[in-house]
This record gives sequence, C-alpha cells and structure tokens, in this order.
Amino acid sequence: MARLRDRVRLDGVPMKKDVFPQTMRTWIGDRLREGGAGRSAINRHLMEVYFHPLKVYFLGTRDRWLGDADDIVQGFFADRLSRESFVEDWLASGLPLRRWLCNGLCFYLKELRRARMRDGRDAALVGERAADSDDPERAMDRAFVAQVVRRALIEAEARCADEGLGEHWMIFERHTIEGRSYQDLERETGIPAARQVVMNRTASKRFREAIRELIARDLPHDDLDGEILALLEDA
Amino acid sequence: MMMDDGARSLEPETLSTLLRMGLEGPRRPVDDLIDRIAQPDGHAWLDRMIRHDLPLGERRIIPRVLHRQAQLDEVHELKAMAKERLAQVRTSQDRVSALLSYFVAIAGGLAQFHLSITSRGADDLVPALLDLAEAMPDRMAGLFADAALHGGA
Repeated sequence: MARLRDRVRLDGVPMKKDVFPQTMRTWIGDRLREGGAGRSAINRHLMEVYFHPLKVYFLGTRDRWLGDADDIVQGFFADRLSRESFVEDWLASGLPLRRWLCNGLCFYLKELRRARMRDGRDAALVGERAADSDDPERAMDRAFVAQVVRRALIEAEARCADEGLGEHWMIFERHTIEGRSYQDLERETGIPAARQVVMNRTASKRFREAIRELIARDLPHDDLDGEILALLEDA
Repeated sequence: MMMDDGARSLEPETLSTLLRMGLEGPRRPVDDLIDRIAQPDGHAWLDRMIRHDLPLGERRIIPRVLHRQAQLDEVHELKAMAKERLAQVRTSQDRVSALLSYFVAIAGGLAQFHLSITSRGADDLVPALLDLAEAMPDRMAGLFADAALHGGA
C-alpha cells in the first residue's frame, strides 16, 4: 500500500484523544462560534469526507446524464454551502449528515433537471436517461466508509508521527493492512514479535480514535457503535 | 477543486476490518485494572501490590509467574485464589487487586505453557492482554505480550 505518511492531515479539524468523540453537533457548534474561519473549516471537512461518496451516489442515479460528476458535486457544494442556514438546517433534521447531503443533492439535481428542460439544453439526452443503479444510497455508504477509513489512516499516522510512534505505525501498516506476519516482520526489522503485537495495538488505538471521531461527525446522535455496525452490514 | 476518489488501494475485506476496529464495545472488567495501572502512581501501585498488599498466597506465586519459573499447578492455584476473591470483593480496590492476580495467572499460562487456563475466547482475551501489556512497566509487559501472541494475536 502507498505510504500515507507524507499526505496532509485533516486541515482545521482538531482531534481530541482519550475522550468520547465529539458529535458533529458539538464540533459544528464550536466551529460556528468561530465565525468565518470556522465555517471554512466545516466546508473543508464536508468536501474532504463527502465529495467522493456524493459522486458515487450521483453516478448511481438516472440523473447522471446531467453532466460530469466532479462538476455536479462541486456545483452542489458551491450552491448549498454558500447558504447560511445549510448546516443549521442539518442540525435540526436529526439525520446522519451523509443522508442530509444526499437529500440535498437530490433536490439540487431536480433543480438542474428543470433548468435544463426550461432552456431546452440536452434535450436529446433526456430520452436516453438510464435507470437508477440497484441502490445508489448503498453505493454511497460504501464510498463513505472507504473515504472515512482512508482519512482515519492519514490522521492516525500523523498522530503516531507526532507522538514518536512512527515504528508502531509501520508495524500496523505492514501487519494489519498488508497482512504480513509478526514472525516475518521480526526477521525484517529485528523487533521481537511480542513487542510488535503491543506496538500494533497502540497504533490501532490511534486509528480507532481517528475513525470514531470522523464517523461521529456524520451523526446527530452518539450511538457510534450502532452506526459502525450498520455500515458494516452494507460494507 | 480536485478531490481524490477514496480508498481505492484498500481491498473491501481490509476496509471492513479497519471499519470494525472502530467499534469500542461496552466497558470490560479489565478496564478498571488498566485504568488503575495507567494512573500516575500506577507502576508504584503495582510494586506495592506484588510486594506487600496482595494476599500472601498470591504474593508467593506472582513473582515466579513473572519470571516464568512457576509450575503449571501454581498458575492454576493463583487463578483459583483470584477468582475466589473476585466472588467476595466489597470494594473496587479489592476488585482491581483480584483482577491483577487473575490476569497474571492467565498470562502465565499462555506465555510459559502456551495453555489457556480460562474459558474466555481469544477475541476477548487477546485484546485485554495487549491492553495490559501496553499499560504495564517493561519488566512485566513482556509476559502479557507473549501471552497475547500465544493466545492468537
């Protein structure tokens, strides 16, 4: 697997350790109180975590004829995130954030469809609209999991580096992600297998903290384990 | 804005494994012991327990287990004494000290004899042993790490 070490960490998203993860409600509330800089941090987080899942969702719908997926989703974010009440409205909805964004994208696509019909553009394409894929929401959930896992790996690696646990992370990558045995790694690194299992456990905890914090930001409630189990069913 | 397209380098099975690692589950009994050891005076507390405060029978066997010089029946005896105390404890302090003896016995069985002397499954036991290894001072951590390795880590 490609090394993650040199990639960026979540920008403007401070991560707390050894505490229950902040819910999105708490995190967003804190950012909103920071004013413009806080709103920018929220927008960056939404783009980083949800851009790809929304693209996957869009490509699974019958509206994919509307245009290039990157352009559509960027247009959606640009339109909705400029609305002052968008985030507050999500907080009031009681929905997981990815569902809220998904619903918002559906409305946005409907607006685009109407606009295209009105001005007669793409008329030839309208008749060629495909049916929805089997389950675009499920496909979006899978893309959400992939994105959250990837960002959690980046964040956890950065935390390990900050704490002088670079070797711990290396063991985690090679054993847990790449599937190398401890005995094999002992021959390669000289680190006793018994030491490696503890190092791997330490790095695993950094990863768990990171992924729980990211998933918590998708939820308006605090049943994180329940949400993870639900995502695992679809994975 | 250019966005990447997700974790394409990770196989679906790896993604599921990593997502599952996010589960925290309910608090375990061993967490009380781990929390006690992780306190600022935790390692001094361990020393005091092993040298002075544990019941004599447990104090006699634990150093032999830590040095991997115990007999298998001593490991069983230590576990039995700890379980008996766990069934009778009245304070959280007594409970934590009984858990200490209990997990030293379990770790000794696995690390020295490669034998699990508990009915707990590896899924429960190995994470507990690893967490203890992480919290323990170096001179004790090896026993728990070896135990985890022989328990299926």
